[in-house]
Amino acid sequence: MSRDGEFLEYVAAHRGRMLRTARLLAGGDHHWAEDLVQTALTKLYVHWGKVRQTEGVSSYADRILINAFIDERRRFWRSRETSTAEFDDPQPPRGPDHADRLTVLDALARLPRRQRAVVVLRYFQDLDVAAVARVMDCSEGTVKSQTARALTKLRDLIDDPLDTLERAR
Amino acid sequence: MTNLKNLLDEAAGSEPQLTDADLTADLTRGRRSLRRRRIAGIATAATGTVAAVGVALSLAPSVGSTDTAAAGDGQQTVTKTCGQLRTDYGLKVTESSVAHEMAEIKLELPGFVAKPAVRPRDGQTVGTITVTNSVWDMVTFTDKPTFTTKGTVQVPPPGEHGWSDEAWRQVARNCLDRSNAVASVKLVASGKQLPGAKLWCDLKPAGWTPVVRPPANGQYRLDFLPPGGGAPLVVSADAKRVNSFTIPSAAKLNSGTQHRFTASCHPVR
Repeated sequence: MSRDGEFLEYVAAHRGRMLRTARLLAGGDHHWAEDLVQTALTKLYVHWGKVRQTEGVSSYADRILINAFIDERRRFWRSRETSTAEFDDPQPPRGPDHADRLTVLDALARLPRRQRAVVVLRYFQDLDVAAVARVMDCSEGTVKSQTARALTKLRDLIDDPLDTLERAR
Repeated sequence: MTNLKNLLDEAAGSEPQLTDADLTADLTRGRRSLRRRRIAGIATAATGTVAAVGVALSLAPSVGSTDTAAAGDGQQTVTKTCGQLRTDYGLKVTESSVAHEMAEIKLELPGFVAKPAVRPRDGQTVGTITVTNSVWDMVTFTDKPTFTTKGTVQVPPPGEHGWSDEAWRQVARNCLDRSNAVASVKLVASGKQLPGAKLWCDLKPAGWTPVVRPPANGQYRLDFLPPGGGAPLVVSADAKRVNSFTIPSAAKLNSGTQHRFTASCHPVR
């Protein structure tokens, strides 16, 4: 199979998962999530010749996604927002409980980015500590400490969702 | 944590319907990025090459300069004056006062291990060395029949591998070929005994072949041919050259005859 064919096959199988991960990372910002996925897939294509010969493409793609998410704060400009003539806001993702989703997303958005990434990788993608450390290029101890801090903050935020949301608005 | 996983799973929403347009767009973006990356790589490489060439040209000696040459041990150096060569190689002027009736003439090169001067063997008469003027422009050996004279003007070997050809050229060019400068360098000799002419001479680049030319006007000419051909380093009968010396030819010696061979070094131009 050609390079492009393999890449398209991978994208078709994993784009949805990447987009859901990106939604959590972006704290519910769907545009930002789409930007992150597109950025990650573009970088993945550039390195596809090397990546496809090794196993763990998904891990590599996750790493690109996480790095794109974390690195964006390092830019002094934010280019992902552009003005458009028409309001083109896609429908929010459907879910069983819209209020809970907003609460969780809002709580995630209040976490520092690395803590947010740790939570998403560990509890959404079900990666163990070592795998998260590899993806985030940090030590396992850092993953554990970031996880502990993130969970503590999430408990505080999610246990009192109404109050939190009120203050957020 | 199961609860948190469920909450996250719900918050992430459902997987969107993937369309062909999405796939095509992803592929197009990837190709575009790859193309830009390659162009940037080529541009960077070209810039680097241009910069490297520019630096190299700025550091390289000017083309066609006759002043650039190696001055020792095969290393490239800038052109040196005779004075610099004397300093670099420690050339010393041999005192003319010791030249009379001496069996050896020595050119001292401090810092190098000196070869012992070749002395006449037992039963032989040392040729008389006559310095015709104070600047050593001629050394004459006066021989008698059956004498084997080894007039040795010696220079210690300059280092392990000898001097480079270019170093010799520079010495010859800058120190020997000008009558006002030759006094500063007293050459050479010590190793090569030519057939038919008891000449010991190292006045040549390493690897060069000494050739004694037929005498002309009572003088012999000594050439040194460079390895692989090329213009010879001529040691000719020029009395004005400082390193002139007489070469007695055993085959042509006649009793009471003074054989005088004057040789001097000319730079190869």
